[in-house]
Amino acid sequence: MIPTSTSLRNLLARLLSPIPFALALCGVGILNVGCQKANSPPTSEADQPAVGSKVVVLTCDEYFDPDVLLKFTKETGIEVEIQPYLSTEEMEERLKSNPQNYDVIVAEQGAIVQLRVGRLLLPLDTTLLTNRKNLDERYLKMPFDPENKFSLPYMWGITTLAYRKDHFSTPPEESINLLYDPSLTGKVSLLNDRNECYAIGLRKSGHPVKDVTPEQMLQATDAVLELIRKQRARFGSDNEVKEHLISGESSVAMIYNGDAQIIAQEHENIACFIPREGAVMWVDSFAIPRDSTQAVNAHKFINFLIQGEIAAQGSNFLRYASPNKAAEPFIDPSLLSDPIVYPSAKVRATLYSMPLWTRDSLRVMNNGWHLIKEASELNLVQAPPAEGPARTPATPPETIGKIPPVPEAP
Amino acid sequence: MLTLRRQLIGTLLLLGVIPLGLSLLLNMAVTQKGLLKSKHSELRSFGAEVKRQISTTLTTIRLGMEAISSNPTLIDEKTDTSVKLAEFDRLSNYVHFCTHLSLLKPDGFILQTTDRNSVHERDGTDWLAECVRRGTTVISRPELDSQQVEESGAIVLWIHIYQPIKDKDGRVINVIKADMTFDQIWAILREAKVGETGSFVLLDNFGNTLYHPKQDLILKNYIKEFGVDFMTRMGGEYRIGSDEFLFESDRLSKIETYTDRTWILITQIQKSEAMAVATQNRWTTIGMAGFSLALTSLVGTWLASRIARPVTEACAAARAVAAGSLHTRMQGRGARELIELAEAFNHMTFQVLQHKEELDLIVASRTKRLRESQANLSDITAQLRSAYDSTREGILVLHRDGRVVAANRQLEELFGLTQAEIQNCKPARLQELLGSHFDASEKFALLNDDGSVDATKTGESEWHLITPKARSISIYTAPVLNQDGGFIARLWMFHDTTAQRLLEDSLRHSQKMEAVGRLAGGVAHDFNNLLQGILGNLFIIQNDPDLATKDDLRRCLHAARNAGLRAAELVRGLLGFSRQSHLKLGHCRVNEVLLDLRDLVVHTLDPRIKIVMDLPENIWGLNADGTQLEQVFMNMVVNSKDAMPEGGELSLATRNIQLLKGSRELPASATPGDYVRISISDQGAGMSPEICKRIFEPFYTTKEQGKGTGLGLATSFGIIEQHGGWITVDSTPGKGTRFDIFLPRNESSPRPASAETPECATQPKGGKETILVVDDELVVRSVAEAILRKHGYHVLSAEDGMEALDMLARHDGLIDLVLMDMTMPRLNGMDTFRHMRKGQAPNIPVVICSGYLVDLAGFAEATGSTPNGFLQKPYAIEDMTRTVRKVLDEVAAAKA
Repeated sequence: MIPTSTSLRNLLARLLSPIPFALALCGVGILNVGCQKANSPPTSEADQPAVGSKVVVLTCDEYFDPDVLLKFTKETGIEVEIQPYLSTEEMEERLKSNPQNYDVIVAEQGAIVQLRVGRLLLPLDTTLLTNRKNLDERYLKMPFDPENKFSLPYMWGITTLAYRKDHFSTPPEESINLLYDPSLTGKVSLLNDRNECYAIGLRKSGHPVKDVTPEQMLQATDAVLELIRKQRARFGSDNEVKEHLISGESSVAMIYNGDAQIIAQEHENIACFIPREGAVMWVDSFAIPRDSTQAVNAHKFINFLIQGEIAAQGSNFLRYASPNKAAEPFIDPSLLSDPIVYPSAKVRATLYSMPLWTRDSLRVMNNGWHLIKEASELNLVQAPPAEGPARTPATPPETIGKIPPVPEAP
Repeated sequence: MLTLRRQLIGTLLLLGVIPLGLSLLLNMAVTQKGLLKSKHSELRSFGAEVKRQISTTLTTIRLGMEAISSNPTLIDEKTDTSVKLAEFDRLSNYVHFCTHLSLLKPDGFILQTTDRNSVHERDGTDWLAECVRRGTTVISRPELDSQQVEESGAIVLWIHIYQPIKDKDGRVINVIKADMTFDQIWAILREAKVGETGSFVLLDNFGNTLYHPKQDLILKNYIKEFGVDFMTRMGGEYRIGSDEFLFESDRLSKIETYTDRTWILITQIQKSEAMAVATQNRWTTIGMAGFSLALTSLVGTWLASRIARPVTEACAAARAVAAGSLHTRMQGRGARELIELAEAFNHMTFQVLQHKEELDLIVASRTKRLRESQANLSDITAQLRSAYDSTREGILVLHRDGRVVAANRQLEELFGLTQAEIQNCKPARLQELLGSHFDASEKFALLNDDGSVDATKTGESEWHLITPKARSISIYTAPVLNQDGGFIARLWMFHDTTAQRLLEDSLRHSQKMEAVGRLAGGVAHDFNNLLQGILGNLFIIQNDPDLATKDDLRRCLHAARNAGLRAAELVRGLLGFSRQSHLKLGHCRVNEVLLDLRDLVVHTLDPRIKIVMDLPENIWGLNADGTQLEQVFMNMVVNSKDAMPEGGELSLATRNIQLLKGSRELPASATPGDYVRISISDQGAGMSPEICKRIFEPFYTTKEQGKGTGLGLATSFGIIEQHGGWITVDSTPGKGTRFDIFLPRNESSPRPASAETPECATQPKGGKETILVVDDELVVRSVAEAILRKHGYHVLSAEDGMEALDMLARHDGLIDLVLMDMTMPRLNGMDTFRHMRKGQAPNIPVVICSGYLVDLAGFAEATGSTPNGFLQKPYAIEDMTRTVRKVLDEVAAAKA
């Protein structure tokens, strides 16, 4: 569920960081320290690891129950500093720039692959992770980290499709074909995520999301391009996609199941489903950056969060499923019985996790993604009354803390 | 001990080798130290040179970037963006040190880039922020491009150079970003050669490997990987696997690297290569030393053999003598001392030869004696062995160190073990193995608590084996001592006492029964005397016309008499148990007795009780008192009935059975032979083994107060024993009880049924004769007197034997009959009778009267004569008068 589009809020916060009021703006609860540290210049005397009892966690926004973090501090005396990020790119850039500044990261599976092959992660010390046995085997040894040498799962979810009930006279067919419905041109939102979009493209062209050949990848590229060119589908971060649906700009959108559940509760016109062709089952994981100066405390933090009761508290707060066996007895029964969060075994069998692409397929995919993004930009340029590149950040500072819908350029 | 020759050679060698070795070592140490020093200095200078090259390369790149950044078009704020972009495109064609060039806004948005594959919209790195903030060139840390690694597997490090473009006021208006592979630095490090095995390693101050000839190690933590702190150690040695390296390290400061990290440059070379000259030098020196040693040893050998040969010959001769060749003679030659030595030696060998011959003789005679005593010993051993194997005790001998010295066959049988099992056991295991067979296995101990064999204790104790067969075992243990009283082993003897214990139990039981019987007899005697008084008096009163006119009184008296008679019945029961009542033995068919019994009880039993009879026709006859047997069976049947309040099956069965010697069913006290077994079994409540043991004890009852006397089974036991038989009982709680009665077969042919005519039921007649009543109990005496007088007899009385004899003497010829008690003070009945028959009154008829059972045969044997009649107390009046009349009539008939 890691958002991939550029984060306006984060950008602003970082640009304005030396100014005190900006600090005050991002200083909501425990988040304040994060902003400060993220913007401080690289430590000039970083020759020796600093001694202290604080772990810095780089994670996507609002991905922890504050109460859980307080419990951790109370139990271990180690303070937690949360550094939120709004897109995977941002996270990777920050981590690459200053791997010594972070002790724990929480990232989606694709990012874990990138960080792993970029040799930016520290191998985990299993002797410090005594609660590892709590984790469900089904979410371990996934293709993105086959031996769990670098990562352990935190939450798992499904990428579903959500739609506006009031935009349809009859309930729509529960299929990815809905995205291709000609009557919905210009009313489709996609997550700005290469793997998620290609999963749709592959299923649309009738291929499994596994052992994909370069030819199949080409077909998938065409299927995604069709969405952009014909359906004029828009990309957005997870928050943006939510807003598209809520405001009614979009009739149908790719959305993570936890988000879908929360907005469906708040807005009676919104419903979601798992397409009958199957959907991506993703796992967000903990990892420790290569140059962390608090590696032992980072292990303590991860070990604390994979305790059954603690993991359950997190799941109940975030409304995402936990990959933790020991958590199950403590999970809210209404969550456990939600077919979108904990689907039946039959539905589960249709879900697929992201494989590791072969080099040839990956090259095709990366080239294709480039084309897709270009096409998307072309849409924005052509879309009246858009003027100038849509990438221009225009969010006023006052809106930080609550993301507004993507602003239409005046 | 070194030989003379070796000593000589050794000394020569030492003289040659020590100076040589010392000079060799010194030479090597000096060479090595010098070499190391020069190598380190060489590495340092190499490192310095490479460092300079890296620094220069980075500076060149920076200067190139600075040149671009000072482009007037780019720094002019007024220039249109599109013109700036065109200028940037033009510039990028001239910049060859980097792969891609991008023009960024200070906030990170990418205005233009030569990287056509980039999907990024902006640069969000801290490096950019740093460049904008400081307004100086910033170079990123070398990092892998993960997309490149994924797509091609190539390990290529990239650095990004951020160069600010400032306006005239020094404000950063744009940033140029150059993407450059780290290859230029790698090329320097790869191409700079340090000998054959030398190489460079570049680390950052976190230990991450930025360059290493092995690509696997790139970005791995080199410090943690090899455990060398390159931060603080500027030079020295370390190991990678089996390779040893000399290294020198140098730093590139942050200012030199333009990054936020210090770099460490390690210049290293394999130690083997560095020390090659020293090694070669060492081998040359060792070769020379070897040659000189060989020469020294040759000279030494020649010299030594010259000096040592005569001594060696003397040694050989002495060794030959020592080996037994006493006729060896030494050749004296050479120096005078050596000739004298040879003479002395030859004299000595002659002496030794003589002594040896004498000794040989002595040894031969002693050997002979030894053989004889060995033969004796083996005979004794064989005898002991056979005794040891044939003894009935299991024997176990443990050596004081715990190993099994001996375990005989009986021990194996007793515990069901094999010899191998016993012999191969550790002592603790043996203790466990044997102990497991006992009921109190945890108490069984062969060893002390600390596992040692006890050296002192002697004792005997009783144990119970439960497996392989239940047995009683007496275990005797004692230490085995040698002649001096030293402890050598411990002996255990396991004696099977099962049979002995059974016999003892049986004996104890019969002794107990005997004692109880005697007690019952005594009680019965006194009781009978009392009853006699009661009954007699009642009779007198009943027959007294004056007193008996009142019917009521008579009825009461009648009732009282009946009570008295029942009491007498009880006493007869007691006597039956104590074998002191008369058995009327005769040929008896037990089946008939049982059939009669069935007829008798069938109507009184609960209809829910079914009687099953199994009486084969060919059952042997018995010599038995049918009435008594019926009484016995009745007792059993009543018990069975009481045990089955809910009903069930009562089975009566008879079998002929031949019990041979050693038969399981034959008790120790019985004689083998033919027996009839009568089995009475029920399906009742059964009894526990504790109750079973006690049921034959008199007055022992499990029935509620007033329902049983506790005499039924005790009496039955007595009656059956009197018949020469025995009773066994087999009972299981909840299943039922079975009594087996064994009675010996009657050898003689069945006699025809007794032709004895039933006694005339007429009133006994009286008479006029004089009768002497002798009894010490006044009440009995007076009753007898009263009855006899009532029947017209003239009666005299005496209170013991002495007085009786006195009376006989005084009334010589007047007394016609003596009615005499047996148990009396002063002179008892038997002695009085003997006196009478031997002298005073050989012909006066005597009727013996006793509360005890009197063995008339034994009585006749002891006194030489048989009394004319016998009355068992308490007697009925009719019985007494009839017997008296009958004896008087018989005597009168005999006289006639």
